Amino acid sequence: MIDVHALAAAVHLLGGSWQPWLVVLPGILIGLAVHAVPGLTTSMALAICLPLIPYMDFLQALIFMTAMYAGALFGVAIPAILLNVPGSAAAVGTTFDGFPMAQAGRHNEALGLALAASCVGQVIAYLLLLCLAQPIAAFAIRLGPPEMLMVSLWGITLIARLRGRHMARGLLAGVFGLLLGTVGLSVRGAARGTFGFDLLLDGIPTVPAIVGLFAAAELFNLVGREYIVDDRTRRQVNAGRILAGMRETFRHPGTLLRGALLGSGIGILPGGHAIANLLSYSEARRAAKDPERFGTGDPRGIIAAESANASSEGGSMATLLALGIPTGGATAVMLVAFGMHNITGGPAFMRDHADIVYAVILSSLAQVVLLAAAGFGFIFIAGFVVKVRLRLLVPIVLALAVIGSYALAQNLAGPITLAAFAVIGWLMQRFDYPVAAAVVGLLLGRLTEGALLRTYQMSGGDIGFLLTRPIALAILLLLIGSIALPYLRRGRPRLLEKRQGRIV
Amino acid sequence: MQRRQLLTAAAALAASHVVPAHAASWPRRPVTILVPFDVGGSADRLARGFAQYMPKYLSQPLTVVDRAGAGGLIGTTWFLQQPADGYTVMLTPATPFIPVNILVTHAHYTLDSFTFVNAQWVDYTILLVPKDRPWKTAAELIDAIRAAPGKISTGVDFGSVGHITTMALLDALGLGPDAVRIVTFDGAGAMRTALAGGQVDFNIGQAEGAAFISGFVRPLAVFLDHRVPDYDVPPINDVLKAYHVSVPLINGSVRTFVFPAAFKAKHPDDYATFVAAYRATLDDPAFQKWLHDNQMAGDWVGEERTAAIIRANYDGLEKYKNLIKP
Amino acid sequence: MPSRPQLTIGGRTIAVDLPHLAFVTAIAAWCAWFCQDAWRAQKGVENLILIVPASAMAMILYIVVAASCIHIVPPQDHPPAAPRRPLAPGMASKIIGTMALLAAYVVCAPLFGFDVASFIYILTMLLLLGERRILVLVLVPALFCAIVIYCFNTLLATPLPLLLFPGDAA
Repeated sequence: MIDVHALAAAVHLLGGSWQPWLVVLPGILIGLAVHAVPGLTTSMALAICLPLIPYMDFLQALIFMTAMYAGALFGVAIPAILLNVPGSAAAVGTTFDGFPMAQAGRHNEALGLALAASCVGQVIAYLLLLCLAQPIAAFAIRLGPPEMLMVSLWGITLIARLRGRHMARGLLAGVFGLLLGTVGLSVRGAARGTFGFDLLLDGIPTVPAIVGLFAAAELFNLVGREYIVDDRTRRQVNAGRILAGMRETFRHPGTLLRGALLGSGIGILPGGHAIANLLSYSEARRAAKDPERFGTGDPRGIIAAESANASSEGGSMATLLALGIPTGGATAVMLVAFGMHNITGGPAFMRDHADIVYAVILSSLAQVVLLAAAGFGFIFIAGFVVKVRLRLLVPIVLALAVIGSYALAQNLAGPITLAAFAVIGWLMQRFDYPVAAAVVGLLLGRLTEGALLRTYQMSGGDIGFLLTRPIALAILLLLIGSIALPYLRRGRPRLLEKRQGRIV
Repeated sequence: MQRRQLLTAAAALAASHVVPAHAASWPRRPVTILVPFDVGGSADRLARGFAQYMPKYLSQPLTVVDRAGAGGLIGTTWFLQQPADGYTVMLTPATPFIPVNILVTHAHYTLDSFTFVNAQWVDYTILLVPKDRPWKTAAELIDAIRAAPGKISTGVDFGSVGHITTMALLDALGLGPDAVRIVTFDGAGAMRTALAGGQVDFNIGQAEGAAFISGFVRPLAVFLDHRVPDYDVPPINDVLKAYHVSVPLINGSVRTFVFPAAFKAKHPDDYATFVAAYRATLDDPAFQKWLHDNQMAGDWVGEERTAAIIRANYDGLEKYKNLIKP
Repeated sequence: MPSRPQLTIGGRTIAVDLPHLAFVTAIAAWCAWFCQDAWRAQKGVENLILIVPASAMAMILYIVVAASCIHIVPPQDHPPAAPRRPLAPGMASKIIGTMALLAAYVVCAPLFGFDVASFIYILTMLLLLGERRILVLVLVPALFCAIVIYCFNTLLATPLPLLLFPGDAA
């Protein structure tokens, strides 16, 4: 499974000169810095990185891009934990337990947890890639719309789990999010819900919407408080506590491993990268013996979300490296590096450039060490945010978010979305609707509709079609099983106890 | 060598914001190439090639900006909102996307809003099937569709030439749109991945994109009036002779630089400066090699011929727009 | 006006949680409008395959939630305690002020330039939230504008419309 000859060549490539290593730290720092600022997105990091690529050789370019993404994967967790503003859709799961921990003054531990989980997730993903690149890719290419549909349904069940105290309100928030996610041009070219605005043809911009829903809503609420962390003695940045958080990660090996494996698997699917953290969080919560602790600041929530998020990138790299087929944003950009160096993707890539493939994987493994160090330094600096008075923080974060959302597309779609969803988010919080459910719906809307539509189209309307898709059926059965199992296992008495909770 | 290159990069980044004091004429500052599609796509990669090789002839750096969405509509609309001073130029597969924007997605511009500089890289469409499917010729596939209408599936990238050609082919053969299961994708990349994985039975799409998945698919016919050396398959109308029908051969993506019409009208000298720099870049042997290695073309056909090509494609697409309208 | 007006119908007192009812009705109304808009755009399964079931679900949930907003008040009980934390005095105006300022900022920034608009926005927000130290009121917005706008304009090369500083303004 491992091409030893190519592996040796790769070690020689990496060990023989310092040049490939030159780009790792800048890449990580760019990825960290851009994504740690709420409202800034990957496209801005790319705007910095892409013009530099022609000046690098091919291996350097690939390593540079993977380093940038490695930094990005963790960077988004920083504002998620400190400010409840996920740096991107990939960090939404981290906010669920990260921000409560920060509010309780345990921000150091939370950031340490996220960093360690992110590093371990990446290591596991790339180890898998090293050993199983070809089989993973061959498997990945057989996954199509029906499989994606099952995974989306799985994501939708998360809405039911995030329902908060009132089931009907939680479900309504989720459905509302789903519908919002489908605004825009349909795949057949019909414009839905756009009021005739061209800017909405591509749908509601997700990052400003998420930032609005989370950030402004929370920040509006905090307007009456002085600091994020009320207790003055806990408002510190403490390296020891950060390290303690990192060590804590290893006390939950089950959650960690499950998150990493799940993330790698979901990352293979197109569009899977954004939802891997949510699915992992959902599964960790379902599997726990005390699920009600999730959402209040349970370390396992952070570990599950971050490890899956980090490993999902490795999954999508499999199809790029082994097959040369890009499946999404990050890998499409790597193709640019290919093009600039006159290399075509395609299955021949692994065959003809196996040494480069292995060199990228090996350097990614080594990058994790640098990420841990750079990330640690970053957390230390970023942690001082909790010392800043909220009345300074709120306007700064909001202004940054607005500027960032404008810079995204140079038009008002971003800022207006941000402001509108800020108000909607606040109202939702006020009336006890779980904002997280709406966000999950929003993220899943397009994905689910596309998968549902294409499955329908492929089947020609024939339900029996699903019987020809064993993988999809397997996922569906697993899903049904995972929902039914807690009820079957715990028996009737617990079930009645659960039903005491409020329905509306 | 590498270290020097990286230092050069850093210097270039810094220098790009310093305007040389002696520059008296256009362009006096960097020029933006707007690509109304996603990063990593063919237009984007071509634009980055220009950003690498053209500054030498233009005396200013070029930055690539991507603004994807709605089949090019979002980026093109933004492009027209910029001042027509030549500092923003668009590089796009002008057809079929601009005609589709106008005819199907109700864009607010018309063909006359633009000046199309040069149809540099024209692609053609090709019929592909996944390797594990049984059909070895286009005729076998057509017979299979006729024998079992509604069972065979095809993937289409909505609004692309491949989509329109697929519908035109069915129409010519007298098969209704329900004769095949049409699976619509959100872009050519997603569709190609699905084709490579055998999720759909056949696809008519861009030939240059097919190179990525060549190991997974088998070509059956090309939509040209002649054979090509890259694929040993017959032209489609040769195959269709046996069925006594033919299909119109619409160009694949025609990539060209585009300016708003007002730019050439108001600043004809600046326009000429750009065209001269552009031609010099095309003539640069290093750039030609780059194009060749990336399997892109660098032909010069001139503005008039380009306008004619685009107009012809527009008319052809107008005839068939009803086949794909929602 | 109490947020839970009470009506007496046929001998029974009914309390209506008006703000919540208004909010959930707004959400449901949008869902219904969206479904109708999609229907008009293209009446096909392919367009509506997710939208119609989701909208139907939304309507059902709406009815359930709206019904919960309406309580019959048993004659001998006190009205049920307010389900929501009442806002601290003065908070309501701060929150509305924050929202209004954000809206104004979003609209004005592209028009008047991000530099000026950001400065004014941060300054006004600081005042609204109770900051009174002159040094902070001047320095923080100024530093923000200088650093952030420099970063966006130069490092990230994104054209932002600016009033005072020349840049690659679109």
